[in-house]
Amino acid sequence: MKLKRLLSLAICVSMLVVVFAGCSKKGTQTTGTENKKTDIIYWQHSSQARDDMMKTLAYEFMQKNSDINIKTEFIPEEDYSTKLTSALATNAAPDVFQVESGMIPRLVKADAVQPLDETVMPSDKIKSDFVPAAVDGLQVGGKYYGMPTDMQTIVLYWNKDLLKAENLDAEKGPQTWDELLDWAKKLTKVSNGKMVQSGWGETGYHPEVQAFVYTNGGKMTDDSGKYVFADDPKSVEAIKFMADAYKVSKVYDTKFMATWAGFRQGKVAIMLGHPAMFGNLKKTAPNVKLGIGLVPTKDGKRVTAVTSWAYVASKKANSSASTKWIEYLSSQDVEKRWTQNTGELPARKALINDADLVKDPQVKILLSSLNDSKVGSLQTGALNKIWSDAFQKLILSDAPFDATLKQLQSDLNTEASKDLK
Amino acid sequence: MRKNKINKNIILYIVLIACSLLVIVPFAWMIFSSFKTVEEFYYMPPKILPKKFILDNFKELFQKANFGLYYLNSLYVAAVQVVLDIIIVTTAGYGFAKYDFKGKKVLFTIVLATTMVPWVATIIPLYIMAYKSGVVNTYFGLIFPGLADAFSIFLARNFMSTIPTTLIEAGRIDGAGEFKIFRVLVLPLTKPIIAVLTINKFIGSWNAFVWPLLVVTSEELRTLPIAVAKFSSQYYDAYNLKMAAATLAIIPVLIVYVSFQKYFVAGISLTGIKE
Amino acid sequence: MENSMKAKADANLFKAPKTRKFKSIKIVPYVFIAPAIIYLFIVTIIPAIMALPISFTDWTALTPRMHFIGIENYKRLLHDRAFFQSILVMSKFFIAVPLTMAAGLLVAMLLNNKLKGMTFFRVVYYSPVITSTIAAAILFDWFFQPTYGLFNSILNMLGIPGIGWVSDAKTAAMSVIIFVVWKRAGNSMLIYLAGLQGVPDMYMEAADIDGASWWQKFWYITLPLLKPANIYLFITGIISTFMIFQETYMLQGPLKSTETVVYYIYEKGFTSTEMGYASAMSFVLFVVILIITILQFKVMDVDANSN
Repeated sequence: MKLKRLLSLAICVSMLVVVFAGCSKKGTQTTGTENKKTDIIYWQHSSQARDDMMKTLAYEFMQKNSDINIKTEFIPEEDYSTKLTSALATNAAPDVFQVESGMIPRLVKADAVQPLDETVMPSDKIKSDFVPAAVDGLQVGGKYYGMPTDMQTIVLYWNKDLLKAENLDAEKGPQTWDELLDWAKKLTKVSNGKMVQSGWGETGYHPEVQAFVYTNGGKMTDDSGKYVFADDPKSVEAIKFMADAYKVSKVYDTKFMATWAGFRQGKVAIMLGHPAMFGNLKKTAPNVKLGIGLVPTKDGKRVTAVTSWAYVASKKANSSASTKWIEYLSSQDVEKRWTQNTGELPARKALINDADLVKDPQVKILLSSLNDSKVGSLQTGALNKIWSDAFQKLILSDAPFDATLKQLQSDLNTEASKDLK
Repeated sequence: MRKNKINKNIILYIVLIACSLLVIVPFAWMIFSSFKTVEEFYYMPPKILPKKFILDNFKELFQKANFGLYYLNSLYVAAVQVVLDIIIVTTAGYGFAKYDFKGKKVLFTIVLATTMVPWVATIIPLYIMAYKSGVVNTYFGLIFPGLADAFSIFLARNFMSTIPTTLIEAGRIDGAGEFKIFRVLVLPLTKPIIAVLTINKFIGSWNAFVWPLLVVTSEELRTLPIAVAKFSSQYYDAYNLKMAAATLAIIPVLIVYVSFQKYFVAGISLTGIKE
Repeated sequence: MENSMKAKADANLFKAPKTRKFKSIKIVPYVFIAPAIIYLFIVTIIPAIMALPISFTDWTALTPRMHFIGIENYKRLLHDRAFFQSILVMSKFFIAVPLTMAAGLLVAMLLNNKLKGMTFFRVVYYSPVITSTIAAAILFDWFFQPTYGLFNSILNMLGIPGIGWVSDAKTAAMSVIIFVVWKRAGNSMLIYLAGLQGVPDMYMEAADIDGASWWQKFWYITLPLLKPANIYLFITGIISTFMIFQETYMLQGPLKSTETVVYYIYEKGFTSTEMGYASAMSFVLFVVILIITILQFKVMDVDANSN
């Protein structure tokens, strides 16, 4: 008994010793300027494809810029904002990191980020080389604070077999709003009062609704950034179209199946979604014959909504070094390789019709969605939540449509006013 | 008479087995899922057994996802936290249980009150403290905030209060010092509680997510839950890897539990009264 | 720690008995609780003290700077419908505490015998506790699927129509509660098993000789002796219920039906970056929990005294 105690005591003490010995910084944090290099700590939100690419890119960049040292840290995506917030709160933020592009105004107001170095990335080059919808949301007061990454638009996906079974054109897919609703109704099947197939799995995800608002010629905000959709008849019409698809035409039921899970199983026929789902579906639902198209038109027009994240540089980062790194990540060659490896859309105009990228006709369609695009609003976690809570009310409860929409607009404005100076 | 006993036992087993299905099914599901490919997770109706038992997920975990490193880190952190937790909690539990002193009620209320502050409010100040002390991204910073918690102290106190004071008095009459009494007389009687503390702390440490997420930025210090989190991204959930990781993660915890739960075997009495 | 204690104990052996007893007993309890108090002070109390002034600011946590805004946050809280709704949702979850305790007690009593295989069952019933909440929640998410999910499939087999579980605002909270009970019952089982060891066979044998029924034995012998366990489980259960987060983060019901307080605070603090407001809410919650817990203590202490 005594020996046992002595032994456990010894283990305990030795552990404490190791713990305290481990006090010295382990891990690859920057310690400063041992060799006249500038250190750039970069946070990447993680996915297998991105991580691998990023390591290669960092290496290549350092070859080309021997005076800059890039230290990449990969953060799990789901909890990225928790970690980023804590770091920003203590001034322990990395030099370059990613944020939802909607966060930029708030970060600028908090003086947490700096504008891109004009000498490295001149504003007029940004305006001319990049898809407007990709960079419009990234400027405050005329200066660009970041470059786009994780670019997403909204496109249309459908299950070719399910459409064929109803004698609908499975190659072209629904082209107009009327076709979409009509086909969705045909593709919805109910048996014994329970849904067994959903025609269109729509739950009001904001980029999708915004795409329809824009297509209808409506607007979400006015020029000052204030939300005005509830007062704009064309916007209201678009939002009502989508809400009624669920409530009135009953093309989907949340109690049926999760939308994408159902799509993968061939139980949901049509879905709006991001181009990123393309790569996902190829892996997770190889048996679904995928049809891809653009957002259905209204009166011959179509406009999709662009949502993205952005690479930004924190206030304390070295201005030219961080902008050089961001510039590299947004360079044409890197964007092209990024698209090829991760499936995320590029932001440069030149790449929309790049010969290599458009070899796959389906990827060609995804890229072409950038041609008629507008930057989306609601690109912060808070705005997104306010929107989705309200839309749930619209479709799942008996809340009156107009009143709920007006309340939503007011709530969004309250939240957004925190960012306007 | 004998038949009666056998019948009772049979009924007991039947009930136990029936109820255990409630637990075994989800568990088995998780284990079987570690052998599936990612598409199989979307089959409707879901099938419990994989099409083929593939080891690809485990291979990917160890070869590509650096799982072995995270495993070792988690083990190390858990071991240190368990040992220190036992020391801190048993001493505090004993102090609160067997002594009367000024401020006892207030101090105990304060101890319990520390569990009532939502972590959301304290996590960033704690991070600030860690950052200013320079222990961010170190083992110390990772281990220190997970050493003891008030619930365990509460538990220890409650159990230690059932230790007969007569025993302690006897020790004092014999001339033993307070700490010797604690070590020699009291601790051996608290084996069940130490076992519970070990199990609880090990689990808590093993599954801790928020603090390691915040305090660790480099690969070398990562623990298991962070690894599992890395398998989800906005557009793709690597369920197969998550389940494989969860299955592997259970093993050490199970070992700890099985080893220590024997202190609850019928027959070991807390109060030392012979069976 | 052990070293200094050992040293102290050794030193005590050399002192004269009378003076040693008097002096050491006075400070000894403080020495015993010192490590815990110091530790909790550093890790919880200081951060909480830091968080209090934050609740009077407009801090976004995006930058170290913050501005004093007085009691604005608290005033805002009074009108925050979502906050009160989250409290309502959370109060539904309190039922999980007696459910978990009852389940744990039932199993513990079933297992409290010397039959073969008890170890196996002990492991089985405890395994939900061991599993990471995240992995378990993913599993239950599948089980809760309205179409083809395991639970509805079982109900259908018994001829009962399936329900919406988490996808239906009316049943979402109940579904998460089922998950919570499943996950936590093993913990109660463990505590009760430890507690049942303290029920001396002597008492039970004496009761048998007196011809007591199973129920009488349970009610008059077992239950009173389990009092420390019950108190512990109930109080910590209530506090833990206030803190439920991961479970509702993973299994979200529509129309805020599973949005508990801590979840709401987290959303406001980290997603909406309104740390000042989140801190204010945290303190209000803290005071509420503190009051409830003190009330519980008073109620239970009264019982103890009357015994």
